[in-house]
Amino acid sequence: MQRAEQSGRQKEGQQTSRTSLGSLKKMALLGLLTLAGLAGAQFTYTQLSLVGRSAQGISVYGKEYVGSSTLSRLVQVSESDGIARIDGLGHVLLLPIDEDQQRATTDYNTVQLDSQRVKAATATRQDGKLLLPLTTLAQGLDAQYTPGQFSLAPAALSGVSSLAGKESDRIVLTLNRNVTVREELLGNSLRLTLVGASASTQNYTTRGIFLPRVQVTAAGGGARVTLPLPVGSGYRVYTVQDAAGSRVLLDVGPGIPLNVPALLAQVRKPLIVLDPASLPTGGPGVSRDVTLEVARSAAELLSKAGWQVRLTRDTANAPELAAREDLARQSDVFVSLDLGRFPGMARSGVTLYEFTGQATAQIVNAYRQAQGEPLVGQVVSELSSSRTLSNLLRGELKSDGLAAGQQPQSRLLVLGEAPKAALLLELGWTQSRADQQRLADSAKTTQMATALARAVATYLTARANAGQS
Amino acid sequence: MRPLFSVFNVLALVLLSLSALAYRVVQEPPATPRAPQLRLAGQKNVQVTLYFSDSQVRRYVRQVRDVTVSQDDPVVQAQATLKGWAAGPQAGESAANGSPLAVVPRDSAVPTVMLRGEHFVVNLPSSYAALNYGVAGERMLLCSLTRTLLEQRGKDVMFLVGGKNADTLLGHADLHAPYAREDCADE
Repeated sequence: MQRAEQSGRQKEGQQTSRTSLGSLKKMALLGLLTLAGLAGAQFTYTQLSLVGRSAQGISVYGKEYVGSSTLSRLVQVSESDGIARIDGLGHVLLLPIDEDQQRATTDYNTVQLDSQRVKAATATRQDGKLLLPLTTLAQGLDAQYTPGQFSLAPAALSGVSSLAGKESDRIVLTLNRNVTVREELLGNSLRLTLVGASASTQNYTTRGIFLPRVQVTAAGGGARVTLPLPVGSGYRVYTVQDAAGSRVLLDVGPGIPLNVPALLAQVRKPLIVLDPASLPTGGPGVSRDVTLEVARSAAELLSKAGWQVRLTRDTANAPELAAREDLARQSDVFVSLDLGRFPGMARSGVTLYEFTGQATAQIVNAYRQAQGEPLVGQVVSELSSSRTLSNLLRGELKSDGLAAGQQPQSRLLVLGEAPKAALLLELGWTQSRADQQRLADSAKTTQMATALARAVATYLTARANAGQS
Repeated sequence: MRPLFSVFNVLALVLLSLSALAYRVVQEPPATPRAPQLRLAGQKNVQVTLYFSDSQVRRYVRQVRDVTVSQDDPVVQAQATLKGWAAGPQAGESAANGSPLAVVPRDSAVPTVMLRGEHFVVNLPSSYAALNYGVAGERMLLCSLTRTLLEQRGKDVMFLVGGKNADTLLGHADLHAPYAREDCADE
């Protein structure tokens, strides 16, 4: 009996040890599978310092990459036909996009760094997002890279020299590394901004006859080089890269054609368009064509002061909508003049309607998105410019003892065509007795016209002084 | 002599009389059937929200009203709603904020409405293009109608004038694109 019990216990013990061995095997297998899974995932997220800012990097097969959206705060990244283009800091890099991540990290790829083709890691994708290798970026952008650290040497303008020529003069700006150069032609003054570069403020005189002096100033966005552009002269800017750094060459003179004449003419003489609404028989309660009277008076004052003014109508006849839209598209300031009308209302006073919506033309909206780019501000103004003009006009009217209301409007037909400041000035309400009396008084309407002319002139002068049209 | 009123003769006379009667009945023209009385089975009251203008032509005044619709169809309901909108605010109705002003003159033609998925298409009568409204009035007309329609359903409202696409209604508002709720937000 005892033997039988012992053998039974031994069997139970063997079974228990077999069970625990089995579960251990299962756990080990599970662990191996987990490790294999981790090993299979060939990317990990890393913490990266990108030019002094904290960003997220991705380590793919041991090579550190950065997402195109993260990099876009430093350079412009675009892709087309399987090629990633990195444009900025004075360099252009072309990296083929290899969907095979492992192959992309090797040096078997040919990438183009400015004018050189080299073997280096190239761009790839992770979950559809474009990734760019930091080693190749550092090589192409003259940056320093150690894992987790991508930095640029501080750019500095180290020298300015000149060369006098027969048909053009040359200015050479020497920098320790390449930077983005922005050009702005404001009237007859050319301004180059060396983005992110430091410089000491100084005036330079040259021996050239076309380019007698150059002013270098240290500004917030980088070194600013300002020079006068002689009448009939054009200019050309290009960058030369060498081992010691880079040089920005600027040629100015009559031997170089000026390729932005229309824009210059626009900047020198902005167009003000006044659009008096044509009301049926002057509207009830207002016997005169008040909108036309105010527009004519304001136009006369502005013309006398040397501004270029056009009216959308100069007679009692209503102009064609297409003609009004055409003038609005050409305008630097567009002001519609109208009277409020609505049956049974109890409203009075002057109201300024500012256009705040999307422009009819998609190209105008696109330019508004790119306000930081050079010359864009001279072609299309930000939407806030209408608010600026509106505030100036309110101030002028207030100084004449007339309080004006402000109302943003997003769906206005003719104002939506104007690429720059656009307003609708409602002079009063035809059914309001107080407004009828005010609009019947010629002195009051002349006051409003004067306020309008002063506001427009102040706005355009301030814009010109700030370097925009 | 055979009897005149024999059983056979009597029966034959009865049969002849019945035949004559039957012949007369079938020769009579059939009676004209009476037309069935029309009854609208689905007629019911629906509560709708209508928007009108305040006295400053700045804000919308909301009114809730019952309209009668004959079918449980969104287009029919929208059309009935526009009929109420065009009729203007009614005295004694509850208004959420202030006394409302009619947006179109009384007895104006009612716009016609179509629904394509989530998008309304409203054909404004040509008479609306002759209204003497300023910029605020034109916006109030279009936006009060937009808000009234989109209160129940839909994403946006495209306007036609006199059955055709138009650049504008009264010279100020841009009608190239449909009006959505955000175009008609409160000031």
